[in-house]
Formats: sequence, C-alpha cells, structure tokens
Amino acid sequence: MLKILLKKEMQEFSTSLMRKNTAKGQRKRSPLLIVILLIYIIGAVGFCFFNLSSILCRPLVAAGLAWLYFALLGVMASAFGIIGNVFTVYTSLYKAKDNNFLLSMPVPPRVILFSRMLGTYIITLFFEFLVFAPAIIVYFTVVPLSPLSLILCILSILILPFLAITISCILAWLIALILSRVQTKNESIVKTVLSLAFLAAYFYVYSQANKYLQAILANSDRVGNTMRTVMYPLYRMGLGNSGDIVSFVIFALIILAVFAVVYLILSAGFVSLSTTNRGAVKTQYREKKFISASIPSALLRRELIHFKNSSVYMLNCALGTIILLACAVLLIIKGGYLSAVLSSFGAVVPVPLLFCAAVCMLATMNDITAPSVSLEGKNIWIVQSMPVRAWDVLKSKLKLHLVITLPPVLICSLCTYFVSRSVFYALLTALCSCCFTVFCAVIGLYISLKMPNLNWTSETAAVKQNMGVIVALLLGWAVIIAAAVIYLLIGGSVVPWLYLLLCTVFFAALSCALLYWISKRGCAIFETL
Amino acid sequence: MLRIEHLTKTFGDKKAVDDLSLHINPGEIYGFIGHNGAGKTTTIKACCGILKPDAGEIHIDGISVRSEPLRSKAKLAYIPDNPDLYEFMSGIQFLNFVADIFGVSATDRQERIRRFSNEFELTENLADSISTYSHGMKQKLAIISALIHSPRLIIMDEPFVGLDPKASYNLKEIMHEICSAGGAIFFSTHVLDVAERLCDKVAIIKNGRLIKSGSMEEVRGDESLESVFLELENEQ
Repeated sequence: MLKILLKKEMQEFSTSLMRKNTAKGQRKRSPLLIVILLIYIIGAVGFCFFNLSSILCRPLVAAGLAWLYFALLGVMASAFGIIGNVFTVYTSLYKAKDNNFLLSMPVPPRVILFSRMLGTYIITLFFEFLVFAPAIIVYFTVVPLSPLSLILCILSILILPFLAITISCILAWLIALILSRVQTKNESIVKTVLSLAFLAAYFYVYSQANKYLQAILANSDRVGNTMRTVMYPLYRMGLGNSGDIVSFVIFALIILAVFAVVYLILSAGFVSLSTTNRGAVKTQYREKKFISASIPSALLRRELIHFKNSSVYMLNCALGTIILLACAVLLIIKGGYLSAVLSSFGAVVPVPLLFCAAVCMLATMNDITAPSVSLEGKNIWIVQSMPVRAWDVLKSKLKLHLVITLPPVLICSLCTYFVSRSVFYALLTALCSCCFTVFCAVIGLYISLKMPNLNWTSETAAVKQNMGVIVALLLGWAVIIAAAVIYLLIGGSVVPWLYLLLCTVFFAALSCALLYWISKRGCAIFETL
Repeated sequence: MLRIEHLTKTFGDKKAVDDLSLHINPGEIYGFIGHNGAGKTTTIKACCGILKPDAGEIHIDGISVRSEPLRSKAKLAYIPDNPDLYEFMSGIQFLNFVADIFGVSATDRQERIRRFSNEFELTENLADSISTYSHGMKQKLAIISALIHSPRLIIMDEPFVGLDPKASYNLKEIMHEICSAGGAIFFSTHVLDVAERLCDKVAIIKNGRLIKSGSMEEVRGDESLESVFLELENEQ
C-alpha cells in the first residue's frame, strides 16, 4: 500500500517537472534542458555554501572542533530544507486535492500521511545536498581523505533530511491548526502573513550571517558547548562525520526516532485536520448594485481575484513587490550612507548601473506570468468555451504581472536618486528597469505557454514544482548577469547612461518580438491546450 | 441551429468521432446517447470550440465554429459534465465574470441572477467561495451561468448528474421555455428515461460513429429507448 502511494507521489512530482501537457497528450521535456538547469542551480547555490564552508572549516578543524563545523552546516542545511519546504509540506499533507479520495478508500490514514511525508524527502534531500555536499568537499581538502569518514558523511546527507521533514511537518501541523479556525475568505491572507513572518526571520538571520560567523569563530569553544547540549543529535552527527561510527549510529537513531514519534502524533489528528474547517462562517449574500465591465476588465479582475485568494501564488511569485518597497524605504533612509560606502570602495561598476541591476534582480523575484497558464488547470474549458479571444486572456495575465510589479519597480528605481543624487540617472534607471519588468512579464508568459502543466491536484505543483517557473527565474538572472559581464568586458568605452539606454532598447525590442510571437503562435497554443 | 457535417476527430491512433453528421433545428431538445468513450464529450467539445476537429464543419445558427469561433460561441452556452469552476471566486463573482464576457447589461444580469438563483435555491450561497460548494451546487451555478446571457443554443454534457429532484425539474422547465422561444438544447445523458420523456429527437453514437438518429418515435418505434439502445450496442 505504502509503495503504491509513494509511487503516486513520485509520479506527480516527476510529471510536473519532466512532462508537459499538450493537445496531443503528455510529452517529455528535453532532458538536456533539465540537466542544464540542475547544473546551474547546483553551481550557483553550491558555490555560496562552498565559500561559507571554506571560511568555517580550517579554523574549526585547527581548534579540534571538526564536529562543530559539521553541526553548524547541518543546522544550515536543515534550515534551508525547512524554509524551502514548510508550505509545500503543509499543502501536500493537508490540502492535496486527492486527500478525500484516498481517505474514502481502504487505505489507513496514517499510511497516506506517511507517504506524503516521505514524498517530500527527495526535495528536502536536494535542498540539503546543496549545502552539505560543498561542506564535505571542503572538509576533505583540509583533512586527509578517510573512506570511513566519507561514507559516514554521505550517509548523514541521506539521514539529515528526516530532521528537516520532522520540523516542517510540525510547523505544517501548526499552520493547518491555525488555518482550520480561520474563515475561508481570510485564509490566503493569514497564510501570506505567516509566510512573510517566516521569511522576515530568515532574512534577518541571513543579514546577520557574517556577524554570526565571526562570533562563532571567535567563541568556538563556547558555541561548541552550547551545541553539544542544545543540538545533541547534530553534535553526534559532527563526531560521526569525523569518523566515529558509534556517534553516527546515535545520531541516526535519534533523528529517525523523533521522526517516528512526530509521525505517530500527527497521524492521530490527520483525518480531522485535513477534512474539517471549523471556522467556515457563512457569508450573507446581499444583493449589491451590478456594474457591467468590459471583457479586458473582467479578465483582469479574474486574474486579480485569483492572485489575491492564492497564498501560494502570492508568496512564490510576488515576493519581489515587498522587497522592492522595503528597499525603496532603505534607499530613502540610508541613501547617503550607501553613497559614501560605494564611493569609498570605488565601485568597479558605476553606481547607477549597479543599482539598476539590483532593482532588475529584485524584479525577477516576481514571476507572476510564468505559472499563469498552468494555473488555468482544469478550469481552462471556461475561457476556451467563451466568446473571448485567447489574446485577451493572455494579455490579462501580462497586465496582472505589470500591475503588481511595475509600481514598486518604479518607486524603488526613483529612490535610487537618494544614492546617485542624479535625477537623470534615477529616471533612466526607472525606464530601464520598467522595460526589464515588461520583458520579464513577456518571457514568463512565453515560457508558460511552452511549458504548461494543467494536470495538478494542488496549486503548489503549478507554481513551485513547475519547470517553467524555474526557467523564467533563472533566465531573468542570466540576462542581468550577461549585461553586467558585457559592461565589464567593454570597460569604460561606453558611458553609463548610454549603456542603460542601450539595455532599455534591447529589452523593449525583445519584448516586442516575444509579444508578437505570443499574439500569433502563443494564442494558437493556448486555444489547443 | 446546430449543424454538424462529417465531424472527425482523432486522438493518436483512436478515432474518437468518425464522420458524424447531425442537424438540430430551433425549438428542438436533442438527446445524445452512447456508451462510455463513444465520442459524446468529444463531439460536444468540438461544437463548443474547445476541440478543433480534424475534418468536418460545425455551424451554430449559421455561423462556422472554425472560421468565426467568437461569433459562434456568443450564441451558445456550455455546461460540462464535471463543472470545474474557479474555486478562488465566490458564486456571484463567477456569475458577474460570465455576464461581463457575454456583455450582459447590469439590469438584465440582476434580473436573471435573481430569478435563476431563487429557482435553483442558490441565492444564500452566492457570496460563498465556490471551493465550499458541493458538486450539486457547482452544477447549479454552472447552469445559472449558462442561462445568464440567454443563449440560443445550450449544449450540456450530462446536466442532471448531481442535481436534486427540484433542480432537475426546474432545469427541464427552463429547457422547454428556451425551446419555445426558438432556442435549442443539445445534451448528452446516460439516463434514458429522462431522454425519452424530454427529447424531441435523439442520436445514438457508438465507437465514434452515429448509428441511429431521428425523432424519438422514429428511433424507438414500439420499444423503449433502453431496449433500442441495448440492441444497437450488442450489434457488431
């Protein structure tokens, strides 16, 4: 039974990544594209943690605290796994569309729960691999390679995800408990607020990371004593990875035992939490004055209602809006300080270009169009059977992206004035970053049409486990990085304002070309989905 | 009102619909029956412009679905067998959305929403999110959304599934009303009793091919529709 359910979980996950739905049925995506993407992600994230590991490893090993090195990286790997996974775990445990279907079958609820918990193992393992694998590589550049130690390190990568899954499941249970007492119409807002609270905590810790690292290295003994008591399993893992088999076995037993206990506790309330909504208060219908709207307005309103009522959509595709606004405030308050810091360092890239690139980078965090076609899901028949042009439907998705992203991009761009002290450059930054935002919207829609996934049981699959979303995000980054590299290569032969203008023209031209494709071929694709 | 000429649709190796021709006149309630996988839903979706036929032509009120899809869709309303509606909307939001797409004036939509939501006893639930609706309530909402723009042709795929007896009765009355006003209804069903009592004409499809069609009297003769259907199904 468990094997069947696990197979179903893996099938849903791999289908959303590896296959696309077309009018002729499901077709496999290019394996080469998937491999390139994976290499890109592993390279980029792995590089960051490689650097971090390099800072920590040598001093801690020299101080005889190699276990502390692994324990700290274990904490980071687990945190990375939890943050990347907690809402996915919540949705897949308590909100999957086939929960009722499976519960109606002769399948013990605890087996359903267990299959869903294990179903998140692969994603968690991937997240933790990105952190831990570089840590292991760095370790064996500092100490001689020991086969036993290497084997135990690899085994710890396989066991550590159970810690992240356990904590994610506890947090998911808490979220389910809170949301089951909340009115349906407020659910997405509460979810969004909870998620933002998580993210704010994460970013705060991340912003203090350097301070923490220095503090750890300066007080390694004290930190070690604390870790030994507070994070005893990770202490044992650290010793195990250094070659102590007994410690490794203790670590494995503790992690798996805690996982088992949490699983048993959660399985007791699984049916109730996944099927009951205690707080569902009936909304009284009061007839209001009806106002008719045009087709484009109706379609945009549809997109806005969907966006507002989907915390998954909001959090995963529009985080950039909040960060851009926060950065705008930061620029106003700390503009003078940033200006002084950058001038004293003598920026390699002129300040206006740097800030324009930063604004564009933040704008790429809004990939609202990328999952928009997939989010039509099984409802696509509605617009396909109505007297509405596919072009109007697709334009409404573009408009949603621009309505949510353009205002904060504009505000943040104009606030760069407080750093550059140049109205001209602030306006040019605004123009360039707005064109880039339009480009992101259009490229996201293009990719959404090329990589649709209409068969999903939970919106998370359409938004997060969607190759198109990942491609759109990485493409945005790649364009910015390419622009920066080109500027560095051509050196000072182009004045910054001219380079910004050229980039603006480039983004505008590319957007027009893609829009043309969407209006012709894209519409034909949408009509046959 | 609906003219299907030599419709053919293939999925991979399988011919879902094979050279099907059907004519529905204004004022007719036309039943469409067949075994599971016979090609009913494929035919219906092709009529609604959701699927593009590989061959053949479909005209709605003289307008080609292939060459003028928007004009033809403006004349019809489609109710699928399993109404997957926008769960992120409330009932009233969905009705307003449909009304906006079909250009229904504020006055007309108010009157129609009031009328049909009362008839189908859905008024109290209009402010609730569609995600909280039962299957029957979703079916009712889909029916109301189909009626809101006074279509000339209503195409329904098993419309009575999930409806309570009162809603089923109301739907039948509305179907008669639409046909009396010069419209037409084309619907598929597995409930042959309902087809027998309701339909003016019926078509029986088997493995993608039309095997019998005509008025109810012509098709069933002296037997019941069920007997005729089973006899035809058993033939090679």
